[in-house]
Amino acid sequence: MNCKEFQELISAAVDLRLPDDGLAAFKDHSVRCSACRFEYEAEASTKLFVRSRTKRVRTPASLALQISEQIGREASAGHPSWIAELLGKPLVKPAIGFALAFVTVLLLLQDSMHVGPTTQAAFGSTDVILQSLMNHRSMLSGEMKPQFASSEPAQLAGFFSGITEYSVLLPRLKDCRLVGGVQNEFAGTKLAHIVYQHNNEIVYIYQTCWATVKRGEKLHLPDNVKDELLRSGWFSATQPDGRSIVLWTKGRTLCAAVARMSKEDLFACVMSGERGW
Amino acid sequence: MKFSAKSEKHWAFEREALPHMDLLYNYALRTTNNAQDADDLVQETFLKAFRFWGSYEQGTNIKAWLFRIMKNSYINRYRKETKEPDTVDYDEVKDFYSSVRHESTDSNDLQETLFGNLLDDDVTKAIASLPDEFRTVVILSDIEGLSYEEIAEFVDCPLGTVRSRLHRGRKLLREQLMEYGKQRGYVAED
Repeated sequence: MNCKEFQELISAAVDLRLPDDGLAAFKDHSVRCSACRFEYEAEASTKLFVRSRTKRVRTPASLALQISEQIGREASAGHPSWIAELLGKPLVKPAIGFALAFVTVLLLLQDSMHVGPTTQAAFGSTDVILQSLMNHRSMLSGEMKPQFASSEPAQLAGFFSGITEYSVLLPRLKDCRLVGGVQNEFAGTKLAHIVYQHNNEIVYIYQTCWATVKRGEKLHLPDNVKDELLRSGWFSATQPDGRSIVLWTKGRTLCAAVARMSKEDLFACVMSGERGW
Repeated sequence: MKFSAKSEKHWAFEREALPHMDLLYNYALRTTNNAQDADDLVQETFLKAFRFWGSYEQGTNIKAWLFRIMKNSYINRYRKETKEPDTVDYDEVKDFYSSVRHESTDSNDLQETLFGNLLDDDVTKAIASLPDEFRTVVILSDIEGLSYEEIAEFVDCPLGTVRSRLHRGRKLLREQLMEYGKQRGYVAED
């Protein structure tokens, strides 16, 4: 093997992709030629150095959310939204709107009770905050509907019974009406989704196994959020779009509540059910 | 999660394309060296991918398909902004950098000898400064850990080309890092 042939094989050697029959000749040349040996060692060192000094980063949650929402808008342009009709139609006067909405939601929820469980995990991000915000958005847009509708915690508890390895928490929240729930899986992890109605807003609560999130493999939280939860048991934040998220843990359950209200109001809302948590 | 109101197309896209967001984001960040530009590039890529989802052949390499959309978006953006092609002839630039010492060095000390205490930012800057065709294979191989076969599919070239671009890319990178090291006084001048 001459120097030119050796040079052409350096990358393959560094990446352990030299065929067995070429390895002996490569080694032999590197022993005889110090310049080529240096080139090989320098390339290997460069690769190791770059790898040790560069970290793969996760896509920022805000960007992932933005992209998903953009895709959602493209996909569902023109689709009617059951919950938006219920809660947010600007053209309907509030009093009439509320009455219509109440009737509408009853009809829709009755209908949705017949929808079979859907357990396909599709959204790619493992970030619990991002998933919670996306699900809240899906709830508002009507893409996500309760599989089981009930305002009675005991009935809903029956729906979740035996499905999750953690307790699904269903407290009565002050000034809130329990609407229903959804259960499904993400990467083999069981998720529970609870929906409340608070005045003209939806309070969505995502619940999953805290231990799984702590491990960070199938689901994860940003380090600062996880640290805060481990330290105090609570975390809250307001998104640029005005939505707030409150996370807390209770036993083996991690909860994330999302609503279009200040984080203080959302915190007070979930705290009102503290006995149930 | 699947709920009844989503279309099959929307479902398939969320299931197959969105999980690769981190790969594209990391590549975009390394390539543009600017968080805002990376955000824009990734967004544009996924939006285009969704619009042209019908042209994706099920069962083929989705990562490579997304990557090629991103590369085209990047090239279009770059051309719009600079009106210059994003390629550099290796032979023209290789003489620019001082050559490394052609002497054997203890491999344990080689990283220290070559790069001293360079900062992570120097590495980021050096990668971003590489000519596009070399930067791409170095990022995909040495940071993302993709195989030669995958890289060849991503950049649509033969395996031998991947191998030679990697060799040249790493050499350019080494020389650029050594240059930074000299400027900072971490590495002795020849």
